[in-house]
Amino acid sequence: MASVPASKRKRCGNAQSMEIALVKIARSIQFAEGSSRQECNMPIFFDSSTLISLAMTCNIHWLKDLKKAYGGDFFITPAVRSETIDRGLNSLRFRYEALRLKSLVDSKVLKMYDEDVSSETNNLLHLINNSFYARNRPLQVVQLGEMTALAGALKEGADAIAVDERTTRLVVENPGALQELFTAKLHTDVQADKGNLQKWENLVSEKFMIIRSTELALAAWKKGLLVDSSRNAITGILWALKFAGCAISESEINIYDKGDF
Amino acid sequence: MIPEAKKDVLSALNDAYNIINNRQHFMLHGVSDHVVHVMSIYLDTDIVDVAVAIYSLDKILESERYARYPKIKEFIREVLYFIKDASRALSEDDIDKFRRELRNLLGVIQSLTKKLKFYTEDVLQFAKIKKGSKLYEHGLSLGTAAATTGITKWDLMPAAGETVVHEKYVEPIALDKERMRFIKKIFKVKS
Repeated sequence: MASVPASKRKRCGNAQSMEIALVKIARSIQFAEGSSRQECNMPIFFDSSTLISLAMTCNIHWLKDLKKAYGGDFFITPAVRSETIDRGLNSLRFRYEALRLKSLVDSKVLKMYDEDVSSETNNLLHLINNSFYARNRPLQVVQLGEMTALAGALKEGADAIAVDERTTRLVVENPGALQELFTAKLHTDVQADKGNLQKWENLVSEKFMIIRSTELALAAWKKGLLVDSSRNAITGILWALKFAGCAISESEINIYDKGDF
Repeated sequence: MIPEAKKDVLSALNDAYNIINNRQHFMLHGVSDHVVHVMSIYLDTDIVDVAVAIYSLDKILESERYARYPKIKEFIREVLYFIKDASRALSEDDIDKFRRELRNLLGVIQSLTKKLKFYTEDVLQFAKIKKGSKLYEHGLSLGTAAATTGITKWDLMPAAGETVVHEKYVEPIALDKERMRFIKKIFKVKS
């Protein structure tokens, strides 16, 4: 069932949430019992930020082996494709990276997610972009591409969403912290619409895990996919991903550097 | 132009005029930063143009190559003329004229930087990336920051990566044992 796109399954409204919840519970049991992941391969959705950091650091080739190990689909939405491949191809500076990403789509390592999630996307956009107010105006926190990945992940009951940028991760994991950030940075009082925030949290909270290119790098390193298996290699890649824009702090890299992943 | 932002934009233009006229160029950076706060709230392309123009002027006027440019007095005269005219047009709510004068100001800046070749990319593109990075730092998403400043996420991500923006408000995944177990499990990583 999991590989069948959501719209092809018969469900609507609460039934849809119920079905996703049931699948998740069944999967948790399998997960706890150590069953093979091949049997329950829910997809992972990729935001453009993760694809861009991986492409800029010449590391997208891992995705093929990581997908094979994972056994599920790696999805990108048309909006994410547009932000990464189409816009990259229009730029002289990033054209080659965009071509490399395109080759992953052509070879189906990254699969296009063509289900219509426009109403879910608009709902998510409306809620989060009307949750914080400065000078009595709603702050337009996120854009279409970021929300299509989220909407697709919710619709398919995805395992995870790969996001390297800070704000999308914050709105999923800790939207309340955004108010603190806005107040500190905008030097003005920022109000939260608690009703919208609550609806938002009900929709997205704890529905899937967020991972970044750095966690994909660690998995690739442990699986021997890097040209060098030394700790220097993984430290170097983590720093390269940070400089490419992945939201990871220096202290977190140090934790990975000293720890045993 | 969003009416509530008019006061801030007028103040930024007038400050920029006085700073350039009094040759206190080092103060332009502060004016440009203030415009970013307003930009973050209103996401208005006119405000973005004002921020980009002021930031570009800051970069040009603090460079040594600018000081040696033979037609620099003429450049400053034109810049001051367009800033004053844009400010006057805005205060009279003549938005078409305000935009025209702003376009002229950006045109003069672009023309100078093409002659002096400050960067491989033109200075306006460089300024857009810097301002986009600031929007992201202020809490907006990469997509919002890129769309507002008219650049791509490809441009924006390395610019954000070079700043300290990710040193705060980013919870470490490394300390989340459940998530680390999950990642190892799904990719079949042996401990």
